[in-house]
Amino acid sequence: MKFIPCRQRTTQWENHGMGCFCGRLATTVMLLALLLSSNSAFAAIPPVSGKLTSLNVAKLSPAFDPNVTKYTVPKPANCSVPTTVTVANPTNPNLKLYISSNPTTSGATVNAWVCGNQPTVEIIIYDVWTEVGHYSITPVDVPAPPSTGTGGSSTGSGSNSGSGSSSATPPPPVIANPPTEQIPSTPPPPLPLPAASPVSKTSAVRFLSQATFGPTQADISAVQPVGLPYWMVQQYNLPMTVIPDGLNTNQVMSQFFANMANAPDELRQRMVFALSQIFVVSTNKNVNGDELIPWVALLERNAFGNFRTLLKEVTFSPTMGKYLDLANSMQATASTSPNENYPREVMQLFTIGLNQLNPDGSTKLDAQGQPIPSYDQTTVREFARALTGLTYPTAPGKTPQTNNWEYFVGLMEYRQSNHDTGAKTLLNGTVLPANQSVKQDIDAVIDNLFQHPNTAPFLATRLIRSLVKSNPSPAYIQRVANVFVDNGHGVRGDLWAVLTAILTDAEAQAAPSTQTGHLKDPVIHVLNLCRALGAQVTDPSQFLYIFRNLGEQVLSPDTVFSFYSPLAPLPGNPGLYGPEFQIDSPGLAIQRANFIYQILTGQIGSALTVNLAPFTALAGNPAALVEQINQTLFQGSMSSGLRQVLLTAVGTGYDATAKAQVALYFAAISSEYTVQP
Amino acid sequence: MNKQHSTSRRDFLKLGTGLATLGMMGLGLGGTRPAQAAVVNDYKALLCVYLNGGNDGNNLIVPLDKARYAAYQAIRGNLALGSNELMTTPITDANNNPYALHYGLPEMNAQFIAGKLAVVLNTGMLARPLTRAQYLQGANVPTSLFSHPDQTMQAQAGQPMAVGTGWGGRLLDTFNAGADTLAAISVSAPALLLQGKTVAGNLVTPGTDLSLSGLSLWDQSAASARRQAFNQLLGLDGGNLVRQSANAALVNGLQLADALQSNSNLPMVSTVFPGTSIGNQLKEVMRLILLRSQQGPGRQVFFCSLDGFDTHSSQDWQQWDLFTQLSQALDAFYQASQAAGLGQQITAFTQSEFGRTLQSNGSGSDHAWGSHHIVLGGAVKGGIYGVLPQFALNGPDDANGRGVWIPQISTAQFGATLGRWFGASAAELALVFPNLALFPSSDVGFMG
Repeated sequence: MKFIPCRQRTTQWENHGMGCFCGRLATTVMLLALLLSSNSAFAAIPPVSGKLTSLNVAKLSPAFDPNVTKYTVPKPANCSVPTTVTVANPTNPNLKLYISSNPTTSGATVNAWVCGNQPTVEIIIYDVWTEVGHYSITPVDVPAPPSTGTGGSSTGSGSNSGSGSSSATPPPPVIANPPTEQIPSTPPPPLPLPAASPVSKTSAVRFLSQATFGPTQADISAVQPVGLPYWMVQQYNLPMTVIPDGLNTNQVMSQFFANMANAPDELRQRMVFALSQIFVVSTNKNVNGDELIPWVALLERNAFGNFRTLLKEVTFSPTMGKYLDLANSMQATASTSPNENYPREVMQLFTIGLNQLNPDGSTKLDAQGQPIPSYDQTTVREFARALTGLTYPTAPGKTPQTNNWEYFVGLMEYRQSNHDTGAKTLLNGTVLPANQSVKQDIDAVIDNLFQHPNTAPFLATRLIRSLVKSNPSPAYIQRVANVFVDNGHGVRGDLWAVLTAILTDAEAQAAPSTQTGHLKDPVIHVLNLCRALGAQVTDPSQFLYIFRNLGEQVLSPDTVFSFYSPLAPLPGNPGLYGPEFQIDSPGLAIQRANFIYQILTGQIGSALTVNLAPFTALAGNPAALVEQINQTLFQGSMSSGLRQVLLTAVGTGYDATAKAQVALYFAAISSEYTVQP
Repeated sequence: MNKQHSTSRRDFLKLGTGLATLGMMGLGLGGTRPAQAAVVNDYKALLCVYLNGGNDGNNLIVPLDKARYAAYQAIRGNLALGSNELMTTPITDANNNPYALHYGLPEMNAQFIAGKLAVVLNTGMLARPLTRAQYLQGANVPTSLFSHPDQTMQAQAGQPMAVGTGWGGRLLDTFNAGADTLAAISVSAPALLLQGKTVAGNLVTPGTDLSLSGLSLWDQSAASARRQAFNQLLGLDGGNLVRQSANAALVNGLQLADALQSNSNLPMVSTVFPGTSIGNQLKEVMRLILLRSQQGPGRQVFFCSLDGFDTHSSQDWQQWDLFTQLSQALDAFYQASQAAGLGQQITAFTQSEFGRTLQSNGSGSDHAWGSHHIVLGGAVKGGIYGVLPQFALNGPDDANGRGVWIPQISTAQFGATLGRWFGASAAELALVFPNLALFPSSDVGFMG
């Protein structure tokens, strides 16, 4: 077995006190260590010496001495340093010997890798799993040998024809690391309130079901007298509800959910939830609370801002840098290439999508009637090259390294020495000339995507599907996309204007018809119910596992494609979209209903409580009880068919509590409630 | 609130079933038998173990002959497995070339030696047979190579284009399994693989009780009245298509729950499965197999998945961890199928959206194309099938210079080999895999 006690992992433990990915392995290691050490006590195995008896590496400097632990070698052309070590007692059963994460034995040669995120050779001696000795070898640049190349050719080993010929071309200009990008320190100024303009209750309710996690009586009373734009600006001007520092992963998820249920800035919270399903990170990989807190703050800060700033901060986010591997991605070497994960997903999922779009969101077709791809693998590779040269922020008190260890506060830093300085071709024929700085190239990438004609209809469609309906008309998409292109003041990418356009559009406000609305996903469904009933949501960490079983644990999607695909078809009607149905298959529909039942029958405990008194008080008068449900869950719009069903259901309850529970239960899992009209 | 009951759940479901046929058209329940449907008089099951993220097949099986191992080591760099990271008992192909499996797969190594495991080399998505020259010209290349959702979709669709169905579901269609709610079940997440034209994929997560709460209560007449009210509830849709689909999900869920609970003594799985996610999933699959196989002849296709194979970084330890889980769980599954006397009737296989670059990116590998997969079962003809790609960057098998293998065996051929064993005729396989005829053979040969 291979328990890699690599330097990076050790550092993670030091930094975070948590094992990150290695937690499970680490536990096993500790258990094994316990077992092994107790066995060894009986066998009286001598302790393992922490000293090497030899260290055999070509051109080692200084010469080996068992008491010297730091060495250098000339930087190899092929990223590989053949390393052989010996120890005094190689047969000691407690001896574990590692060379740069590779388990090895005394006298064996390991080709230690010294590129990418592993720039040094680390030799570690363990007694069982206690580190007793540690040597390191750092490759250093040496002056180029004389061009006659008498003895130097042997290091090149003829593997790569291009590697030794640098003297033929002039050296590229030396570019200093550009200064680190900064997060704006002051919030934008408040917006002036527009003129108030009263709206009907129907209008307010429909709007609030799209703009929040469900209308409450208080919200309706707030919106009705002033109208939608006025209330939106009031929301804009509220302070952000932030997640406090120092929380662990479960606490962050819990607080994120609690904010959706309870925070006053409910419009921002709903927009953040929508954005978090487009710009995805996940606790699957971002396992620590200190990675998630700045990420949520990033989405909150930019929810009403400009899309270019959002895209830039996402690109420079160390949390995203870890999730999609852009952190420490570097220019190609003899056998490595720039990481393509973020470069691909930023195009496919965050900005332009797979196929070229018309301004109304429909797919452009070629002469044969086929979709036209918006990029190909070559584009991905060009973007990957252009995006090389970012590393994690330097933690306070640490010395900046070429490749910093993980740290999540602030934005990623430029590392010009890791940047591919060749020319690149981006989308729409944009060419980045050679020898630009890493800042110039990354700026150009962000502009290339921001200005791409797909971005406006792509983002408009995603946000409309998330907030309003699964099957918007092309004209609606185009109206919103037009606002993305120009907010009316010549500004592109104004998300506040886009959100206003989405929520105040006539199509968002129109009465339900055959194809309108969308299935509430489990989070929206449950939050709608909780808010309508005035439930006390105090400790979501007690029940978030149920959402995992329902396919939607917040901040924890399985993949970068989030909980469900915005392109999934409506079951039974594949010509329409029905994204949320991907997590409402028959088995999940039953489980979701059962969760609702648990909530209504008080089985979640003090973490989530519902006061049924207003309903049980009316149990003796079924018509009044059903009307109370009509007013509370449907704001007076309940259909007569549903009313009849609920009246029958009330009759099946054996006491006041049961009558109230069954009527609320049937109402809450009826399609009239589970589909946002 | 537990006024128990064991009353007429069946009465209710009769009503539910009536509703389903009444209002849920297009969902494939109670579909009519196609004229060409295969007639079965036995029971068989297929299990897809989906390796989410794109498994690096290059380190699943490694050639040990000197020349190829040296080429492997030279290109893989720090990702190359050393002798202490490979199973020590080498395995051989038909020409006696030695290979070794990854050291996380000791149980699978033993199954290979026992003749129950096949390794299928360089299989993946193809529109038709393709050479490097043709690839570079861009003709007949599957769309959106290297993209997770697209290649996941294509792998499960069994063809290089977006269709609303998966090859497992279509295979079940040929057995007229549309009315069998136990036919197509995922135990992890909803999967396109299981969606047929009439067969609807379903989901049973391990350890969940699918009975719907709030319907069981004391007093038969109250229970009947409540159930009737609930059925009426599921018929209310205001003419809205989204609401119809929402109702259909619950109707179908009730049918599935009924099928699961139709046997009051659900079969027990006595084999000990590892307590991992994949172990729990395979245990649930075995329970569903035991349940369904008791009911007589039929066909089941299962889907389970293991996450974490998108090893752009930290590949070495991560893949070891995942392979260990996979190997232990699959081995328990095989032992359980033997214990149930169903060893010959169950075949498990891996799928993944793509393989990974032979060339390292520093600490991991990136999205690639053709990969190696394993097939396990009593009816499997153990061995190594297919041809290992030439380990040469920009060599004849490399699509784009990073060790991205152009598959030599298409997903359609791989699936058709399983489909033929399942009992589908050549004509039916042609319907399941529309581009199968473009390949020289429809049978890779790994099934007995």
